[in-house]
Parts: sequence; C-alpha cells; structure tokens
Amino acid sequence: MRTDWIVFWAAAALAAGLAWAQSRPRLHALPKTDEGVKTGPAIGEKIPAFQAVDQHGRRRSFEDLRGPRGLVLMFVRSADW
Amino acid sequence: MELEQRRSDFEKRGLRVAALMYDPVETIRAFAERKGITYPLLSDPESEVIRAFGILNTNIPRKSKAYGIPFPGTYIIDENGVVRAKFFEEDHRERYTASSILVRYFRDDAGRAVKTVETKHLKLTASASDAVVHPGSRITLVLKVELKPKMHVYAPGVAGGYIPVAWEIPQTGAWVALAAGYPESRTLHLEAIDETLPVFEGTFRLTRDVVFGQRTELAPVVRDGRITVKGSFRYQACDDKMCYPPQTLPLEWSFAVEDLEK
Repeated sequence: MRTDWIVFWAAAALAAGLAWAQSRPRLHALPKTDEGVKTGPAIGEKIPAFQAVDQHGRRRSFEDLRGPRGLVLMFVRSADW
Repeated sequence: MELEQRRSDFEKRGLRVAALMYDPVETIRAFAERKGITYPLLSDPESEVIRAFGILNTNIPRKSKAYGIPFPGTYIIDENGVVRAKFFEEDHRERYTASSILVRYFRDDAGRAVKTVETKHLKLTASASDAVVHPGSRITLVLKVELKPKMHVYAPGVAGGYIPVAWEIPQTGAWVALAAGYPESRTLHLEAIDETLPVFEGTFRLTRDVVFGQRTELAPVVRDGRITVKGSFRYQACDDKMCYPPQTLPLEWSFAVEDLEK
C-alpha cells in the first residue's frame, strides 16, 4: 500500500516537473546538457560560505564582495568559450 | 560586457556585483582585460563554490573538458547572505540581461526604445530594458498606461461583454514573447447598472519578457543590424457617464542586434 502512494506521488512530481519545463513556449528544443536545471539556494535561504580568487589573485569572500545592501552574483558557464 | 555597463545602477542601490566561473585565474585575468571588466571575476577551478551552491551541471560527463560548469544564473543576495531573487534560464544559450533584472526586480524604468502614443482616453509609453540585444537575450518590455481623469479600462477576465485590456505580441520564429504581468485590479461598483467590475484606473504598468532566438533564428528578420518587435494594445475606456468604442493601438520596440557573426 505504502509503495503505491510513493509511486503515485513520484509520478505526479515527475509530471509536474515536466509540465513546468514545457510550460513556456520555446523556439527550439532544450539542449540535452540543460535538462533538469538546478538553481541552488531558494529565495529566503542563506547562501553557503565561500572563498575564491579573483582576477588580481586576491582571495575574496562574500563579506568583502558585497555592498551595503548586498551582492549580485552571476554564475557563468566559462570565460573561455 | 553588459553587466559592466549597468553596475553603477546596482551600486547606487547599495549592491555590488561579481561573477564566478570554473576557469583558472590566468584565463579569467585575460578575459577581464579583453572585455574591460573591472568588477570581481572569481575563479573556481575545482568547482567547489559551484558545488556548494548545488548548481553543478551533472549532465556533463566527467571526462569532458566542460565537466565542472554550473547551470548558469544570477542571484541577488542581501547584506545578510539571504537570497532575495534569482534568475536562471533552463537553456544555457538564453540569458537575462542585467538591464532586464533591474527592470523586473527594482522596477527601474531606465527606459530604452521609448515610444509614446496618446489618445483621448490615455497616454501609453512603451519602453524596453535594453537597446541592444544578442542571440538568446531575455529582455523586459514595459508598457506604462496613464489614463485620463475619470477614465477606467477593464482588467483581463472581466465578464459581461466588456472588452478587457489585451497586450498582444505575435509569436514569430525569431523570438518568444512570454505572458504579460498585470497589476492588481480595483473593483468598481457601477450603481446605475448594479454591476461590479475589475478595472484599472490612473497609472498602471505592465511588463513582459521577450527571449530572442539563436543566430539562425534572428538572421531572417534583422535589417541593417536592427530588429523590430511589433505588437498591439487593445482597450475599451469608460468614464462615469459612458463607454467609448474599443481601440487597438499598434506598438513597436526597436533594437540593435550584436553578435550575429560567429
């Protein structure tokens, strides 16, 4: 009985996920490498602590990157291609 | 890069900007010089930060050179480290412009591609977040409607044979126009005919995003390095005494297109 419910909810979640992915009109099919996009921390959630070296070789963290009201942080696929 | 051009618009609101990628520092330094980028570019060659954020692209096989890239997107994070907004596109070839983020999140009507139309019922100002687009740019169009005194128009979903406002942008093979966002309507009770109707009065603002296609999709509609998105705004205005015939106003937004050559 319990497994029936699990299967039902899994199928419903999958259908909802697929519906979301297809809900907005597109000119072309989604590239395979983009399936199942993950978007990280939700709105209202705290970001994880992090450190990284910038283009000047300086180690940076959120506290020294941010302005008085916060930070706009863009994740880019690559600088090279 | 467009974020470099718009960073002062974020900074005047107390936000600084940064970008992160999985390339080594040398590659990032060369990239910053080539593009004239002065905001921090962060190197994450082991994808530690990408993994910590939970956005590692796991569709890429481990042995590929591209393994380690993120699903690309932008976060607006407040001073306490809390996510306030995020802008992710499923298709990595599509990207919200920094200007579009400013218009949608901060309601900054920096207003490019501005055109105004006036009738005896209203004044319509059409603008866009960006004046220049690239293949895959996701931009925001804005329609500001200023109704003349005593005038109201009907919100979508109105019953009873009234003509609601309708912002049409025909789909083409070169772009996708997403659904328009309407503000909350006001409920108007018309005593004389005992009807209660959802209306807009005064000044209100509509937005909708347009996602431009890839190079091969744009090329057929580009003329002299420019692309024009056409649409219309239909409405029926009424005042406290009478209803006027419905009107359909033609609209257009014109953009310069870059990056068409591979």
